Amino acid sequence: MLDRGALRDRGGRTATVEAPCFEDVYRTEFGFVWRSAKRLGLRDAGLDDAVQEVFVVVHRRLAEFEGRSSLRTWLFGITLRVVRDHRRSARRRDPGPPVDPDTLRDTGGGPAESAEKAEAVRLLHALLDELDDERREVFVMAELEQMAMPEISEALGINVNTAYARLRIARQEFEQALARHRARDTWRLR
Amino acid sequence: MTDLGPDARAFLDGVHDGDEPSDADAARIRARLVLQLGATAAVGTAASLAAKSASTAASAGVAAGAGAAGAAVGAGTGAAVGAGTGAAVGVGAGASAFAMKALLVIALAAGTATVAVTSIHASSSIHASSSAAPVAASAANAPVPEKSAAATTLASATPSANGPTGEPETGARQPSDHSPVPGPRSPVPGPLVSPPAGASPRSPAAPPAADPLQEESTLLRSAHAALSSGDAARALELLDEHARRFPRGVLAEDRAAARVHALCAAGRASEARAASSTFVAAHPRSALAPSVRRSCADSELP
Repeated sequence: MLDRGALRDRGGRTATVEAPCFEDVYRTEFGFVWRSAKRLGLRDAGLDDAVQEVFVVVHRRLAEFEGRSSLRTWLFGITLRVVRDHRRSARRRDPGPPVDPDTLRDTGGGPAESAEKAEAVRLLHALLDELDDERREVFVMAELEQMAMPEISEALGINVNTAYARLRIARQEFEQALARHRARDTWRLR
Repeated sequence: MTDLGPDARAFLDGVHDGDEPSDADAARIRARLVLQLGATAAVGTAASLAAKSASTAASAGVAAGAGAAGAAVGAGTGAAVGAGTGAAVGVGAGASAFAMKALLVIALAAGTATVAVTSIHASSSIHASSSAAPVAASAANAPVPEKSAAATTLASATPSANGPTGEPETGARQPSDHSPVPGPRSPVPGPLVSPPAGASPRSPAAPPAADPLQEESTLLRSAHAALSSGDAARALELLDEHARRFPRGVLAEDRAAARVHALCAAGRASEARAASSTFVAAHPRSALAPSVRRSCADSELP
């Protein structure tokens, strides 16, 4: 009998021989999948649905995971496909009634999070929303998850040079968007 | 390549940990997963290929006292084999009411995802049931050929499966890429709200209060089953029981939605309308809101 503790320790790292068990993957990677889906643009019910769906897929396919790529890369590949699918169907559907952001249930950080921090996170999402989906995907993985570019290109199924090109543009656009926001703030305060 | 400028870098450093799930998020998703994996158990028909692995997994589930477990591995139809005692308790048509997607090839009952997952893990890697101690005897004693059969089934069940999105697989994985992944920038919180299934053996008939989440799931699944069998009164009883015992449970939202459907089924349309309005007002963006709106209550009112 294998020691599950050994598997658990491998959580986010490269799995070698044994596929990690679902419970371990869920425990160690739930946060990763959650924040990734969120930063890729899903909110509220859509976020819940997508994260749930990712783990259903993980559950079904974990035996196929052979450790040729890292668990994170594999997971991000699944998350990306699910998120893209949700984005597509969300765009097909009629947008729901506008909802006051203040009435949304808490999908932010922990309870102790300050209002200032929450505001900054909202700004992050707004800035990310300005990126197109392809650039956003690379940017989120590289700048917020600190994943390596070869892994990112693998998860996206694109050439590594293409990934670099997207990241370069995404960085410029993000900086410009941030600068615009700061400028507007200044203007408003006058 | 130009890096991010210092301003943007500082901004990102300030918010990089701002998207962590709250405990409530973790509990909610966990509960829905448990519910979905269980609810799917009664969807579809048994695949013959799955019979052996199912019986293995089922014996594991039963030995763990999980209530009932039928695990089936089939060809993408959500095949299910309820096996053993009291298998597949009250799972069923709730799936659609819950707006769940019946994707599962692997189906578990009684909300014991872990048990069956462990069993399946055992199927493919002879990683025998380490989390479910009482299981060891039955699962470990299962003939090895069964396990390999299960592994084969599992592997063959999803040759073309690319996840629910139906998109093609990403490109070939690079065999050389074994470089360690940079760790997460913040420690990942342990989101599980329930102890691993199998940790607390219990009788199938009357699960004790060891795992509230599982009890919640079981109650709701039973309510859904009652509803789908046309017993709206029983469904309402079970939903009331859920409301009594778990007024602020992680599945309270699901309960409220199910109640609308149950009231409709019971012919209590005006109450259904009231419950529907309350639901939509409280959960405007709920994944369950569309089905509630489509119910007999048919209310768009806030």
